[in-house]
Amino acid sequence: MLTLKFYTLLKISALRILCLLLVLGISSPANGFDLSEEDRTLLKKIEKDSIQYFIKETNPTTGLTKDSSRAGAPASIAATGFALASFAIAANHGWISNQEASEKIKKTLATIKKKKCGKKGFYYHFLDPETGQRTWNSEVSSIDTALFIANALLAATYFEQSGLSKQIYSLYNQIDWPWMLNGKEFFCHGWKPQDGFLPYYWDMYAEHLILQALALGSSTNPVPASVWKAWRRESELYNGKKIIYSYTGSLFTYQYSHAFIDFRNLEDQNINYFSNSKLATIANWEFSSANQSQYKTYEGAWGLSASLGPDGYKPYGAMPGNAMHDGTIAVYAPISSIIFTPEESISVIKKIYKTQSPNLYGPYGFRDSYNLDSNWFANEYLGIDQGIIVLMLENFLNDGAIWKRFMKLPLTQRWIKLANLKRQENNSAE
Amino acid sequence: MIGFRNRRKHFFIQKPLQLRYVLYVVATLTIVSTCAIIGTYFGVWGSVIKAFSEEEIRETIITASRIYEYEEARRPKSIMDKFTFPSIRFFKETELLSERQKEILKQILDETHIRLAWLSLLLFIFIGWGSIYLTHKIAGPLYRFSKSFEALVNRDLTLRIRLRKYDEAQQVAQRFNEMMAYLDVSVQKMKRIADEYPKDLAIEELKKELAKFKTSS
Repeated sequence: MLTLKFYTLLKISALRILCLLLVLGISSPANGFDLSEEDRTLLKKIEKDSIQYFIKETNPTTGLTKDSSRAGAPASIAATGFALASFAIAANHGWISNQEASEKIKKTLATIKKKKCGKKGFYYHFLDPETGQRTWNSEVSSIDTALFIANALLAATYFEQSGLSKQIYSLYNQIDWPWMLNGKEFFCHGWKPQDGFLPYYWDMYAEHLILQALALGSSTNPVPASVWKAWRRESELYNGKKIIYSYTGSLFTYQYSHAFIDFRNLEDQNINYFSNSKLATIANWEFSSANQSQYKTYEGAWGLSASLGPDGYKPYGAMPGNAMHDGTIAVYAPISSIIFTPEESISVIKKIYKTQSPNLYGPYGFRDSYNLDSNWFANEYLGIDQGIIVLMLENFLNDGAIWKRFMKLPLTQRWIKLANLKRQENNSAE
Repeated sequence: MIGFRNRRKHFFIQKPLQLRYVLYVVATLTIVSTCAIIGTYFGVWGSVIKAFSEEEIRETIITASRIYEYEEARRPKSIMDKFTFPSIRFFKETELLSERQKEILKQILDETHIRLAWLSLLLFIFIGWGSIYLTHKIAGPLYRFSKSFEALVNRDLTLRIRLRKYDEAQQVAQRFNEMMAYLDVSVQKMKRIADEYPKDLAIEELKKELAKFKTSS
């Protein structure tokens, strides 16, 4: 009897220790940042609330997610992709049931499969949320398709044993990536039935690295390795920091691919894109600080990225790059930079939450942007901006949970090999 | 001249029956046409009115503007962009609006076609069911009559026609049954005469009985 009791106690103690280790292990932030319980609670709340956008703004019949919360907004294929990942993440946390998440994902996949949503496996940028038909004369978009598929593949990792995974891989395998090159070495932005290929190409550093990874990693229709080498890695110095920059200098261009791909230990032609994004984020912050005298919104806050503004949607950004700015801060930008600059991001998130919540915080978390100089606050949420918040916070709060899943995919491994990326050992990514 | 000889002199041979059928057909067609017209009218115009309501137009204009801004945000700028005029934006947004309106109208037409297809199917089912119901009221009695004539050929005088409550030709069936009853009684009588009467008297009685029947020879 005593031996039995001893073993039972031993078992309970072992289980407790295991649970404690799991809690510590799972919830430790990426990069080992020491996160206070208060900050963790706030970030978790933002993540959970941001997911509500996808739960509420996804059409219950077609499973297509609206581009923005504004009435009359079309569905966006990229936002729909973020919805799939968000449902999977929400189910994983127990915020919605597994069944609910898989039912929602099934509806989306059924619409995508049933309706003619694109060409050669690529999807139209905007769809009618009610019917799934192409709308607003939109283009078959390379980057939006990539964001949809990357998110869908991510969602598939949460439902590996179900038929969903098979359906998602079927969509991925159908994409004719070489077609989007239009005979060139750069990916075209898109294609329209009446006009053919658009005259714009992904020819320099931007958010298209995820598109490249998916295309090179395809087992059915890959593009040649030369496509990875072809785009320009243009660099410029800003405050003594050499940065491979994007045309607009918008923060989102340094974030989207990084939500899926863990670039921390990957080197491409002596470039570490994680370190580059970190430098670009710091540059963005410094650029805002340098312009504080011109715009009071920048006092203690930063985050120049494409967003809504007093004069409509603009590709706001900092230097190096085009650096269009008018005092508008995109709230998603510092939040989604949290994996690069945790301390600076948390500081600005707390400040915005504390000072601007009455005007900016709503049922789906932070609304898109604000501009104190124009006394303007966005009254809507944008799907892709809420999506990047969810993925980046999931990575940060759960020890790179998204990265771990995405980096394990065979397609990612194929891309690393084809692109000839070097693995760095224990890069601190400083 | 032969054609004129066969021409009917009266359109109403059996007035109640014909009027009843006229009522059935007219009522059915009226209901069907009314449903189709009202359904299509409100379906199409309801969609058009909704799509072009003040609120929808406002939202559509905002979306056109937003889509233009999205496209511009992604488009790499050239030196020439510095010299572009605000009117270009207006024209591009108008183009987007026009495309969107075409999409909306196409959507309304598609929805109307689908609605009409369903309506046609429903009407087809309704008319089909109605036709079967109406013809059954005639086909049923005709079948009964046919069976009775067969029985008569086989010299079975016990058969009577029993029609359902709302079947047509109730009067004809009644007359037929009266005829069968008369024949039945008459033949029964002749049988009894043949069996029970002395031969000479029987011949006399049978002749009297048979004389009641008019025959071709």
